[in-house]
Amino acid sequence: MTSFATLALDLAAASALVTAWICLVHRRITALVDTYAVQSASLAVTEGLIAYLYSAPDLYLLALLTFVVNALVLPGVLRRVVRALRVNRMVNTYASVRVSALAGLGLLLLAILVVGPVVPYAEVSSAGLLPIATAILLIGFFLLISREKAVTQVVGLLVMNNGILLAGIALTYGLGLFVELALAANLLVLAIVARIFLARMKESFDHVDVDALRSLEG
Amino acid sequence: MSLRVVGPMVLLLLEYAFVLAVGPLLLSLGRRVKARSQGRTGSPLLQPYRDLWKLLGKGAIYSDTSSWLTRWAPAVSFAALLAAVPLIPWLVLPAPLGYVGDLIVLVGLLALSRFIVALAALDAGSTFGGMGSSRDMWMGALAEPVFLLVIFAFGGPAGSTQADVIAARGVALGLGYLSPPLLLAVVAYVLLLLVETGRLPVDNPATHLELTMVHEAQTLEYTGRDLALLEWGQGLKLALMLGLLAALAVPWGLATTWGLLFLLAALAVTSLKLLGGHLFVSGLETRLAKWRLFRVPDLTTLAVVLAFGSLALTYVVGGGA
Repeated sequence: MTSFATLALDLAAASALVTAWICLVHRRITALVDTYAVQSASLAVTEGLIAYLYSAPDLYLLALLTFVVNALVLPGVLRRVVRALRVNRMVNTYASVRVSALAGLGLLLLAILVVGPVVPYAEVSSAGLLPIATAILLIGFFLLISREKAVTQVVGLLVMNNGILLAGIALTYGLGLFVELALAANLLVLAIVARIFLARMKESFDHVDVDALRSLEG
Repeated sequence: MSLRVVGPMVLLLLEYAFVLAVGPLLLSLGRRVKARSQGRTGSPLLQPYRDLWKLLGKGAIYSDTSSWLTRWAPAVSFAALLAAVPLIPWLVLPAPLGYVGDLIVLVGLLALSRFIVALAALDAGSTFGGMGSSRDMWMGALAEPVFLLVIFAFGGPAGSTQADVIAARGVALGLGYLSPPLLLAVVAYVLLLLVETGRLPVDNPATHLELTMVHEAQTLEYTGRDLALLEWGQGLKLALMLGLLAALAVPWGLATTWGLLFLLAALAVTSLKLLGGHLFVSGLETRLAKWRLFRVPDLTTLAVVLAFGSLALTYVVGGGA
């Protein structure tokens, strides 16, 4: 049973990585948000399995929290933003989709290279978990800097946050329940702020392209 | 002849019968799933067999401007696909003729089949044939390197590119065969399967709208028994791709000992795997619209990333092989 759970843990983490890569090739914002929801769900499964394997009961709560906030509420908010703003639904990129995908591969290699030496010291003894978590973090960061629209940048930030959560758990069983709770609350606030901010931006400039914010109006 | 010679031959014949029979069924199953999702009843499951029977009974007509190439291409293409059948373990491990070649040979045979059909479609000089050939070769050029990379991703941990060796490792390891690199390789393979067999986001197998046709455009010049061979070949190719996925991703259930009961069980399990796999692919198809042609590289790029990531996780992190 335990070996099966270890296996499932590895697979759930790997599927989080796969969804991170898929995020890089999406061209529609709604599809991007859906993929983010799937990634959060597999992150929640990973957390639940770690809670089971290492008998860390507070991680069950974290898994539940991740599932509710990251996989259900945040995607819901983002979908409403996209619908309400009536912006062009396509993802605009600075780097083309194919270049982004290849960069995603490069980021995995970078992650393996950089955190490889640390892997033996991680609390959760799974060879792939820490590199995968770091790769997800880097891919989220790449999404953040390579996409033009504010909505997609928010998704990039959220993917990055998923990577941080996973890395934190892999290293030390997470940052402690209260820190995680505060983090989740922060994310929610961020989503709401982003929603209001995007609405204002759309109202004032008639688009949500952050590049255009660099020049002064009037 | 001794049993050691006759046994594998009988088994091989059985496998051929199975693969040839299941191909058209897979095609009609896919059509049925799509019809149901659109609120139609769809044609009966046995319809492709009836079509094949009807077409095989008819003579062939050739364009006056075509050469010997048009006459030979369907047979060569079909033969190349037939030659690929023994390379995959369908029922028994090790596969009865598995030692004759590895999966790189399989990629080569699929390429030969694709190449000869593309050539023949150019032969008669019709516009659509040329367009279909051009697109098909372009997709082939994108898909084949990825196919090789995916094979290396599957074969890395086993240290072999032979399908039955990889599958034997999986059966021996049991559930321990599942790993992150395997998951990545399987996703990459499914993306590749969509491109190779011309499924929906890449090519619509049901379309007869000339501008979007790829594989259909290449068979326009054919009638009668030649068309039957080409359509049967499409079913065969689908069965090959799904059979390879079944053998590499979920190898459990292949018989490792000889015996009628083991064989029957393996037959049932393999049929279930193929049907299940195709139900999944057809389900995926009903959720997708056809992509613009120049987005196909997005799909293959993602497959490259997944396959290469799988290799990286195997060799750098997992310390495999």
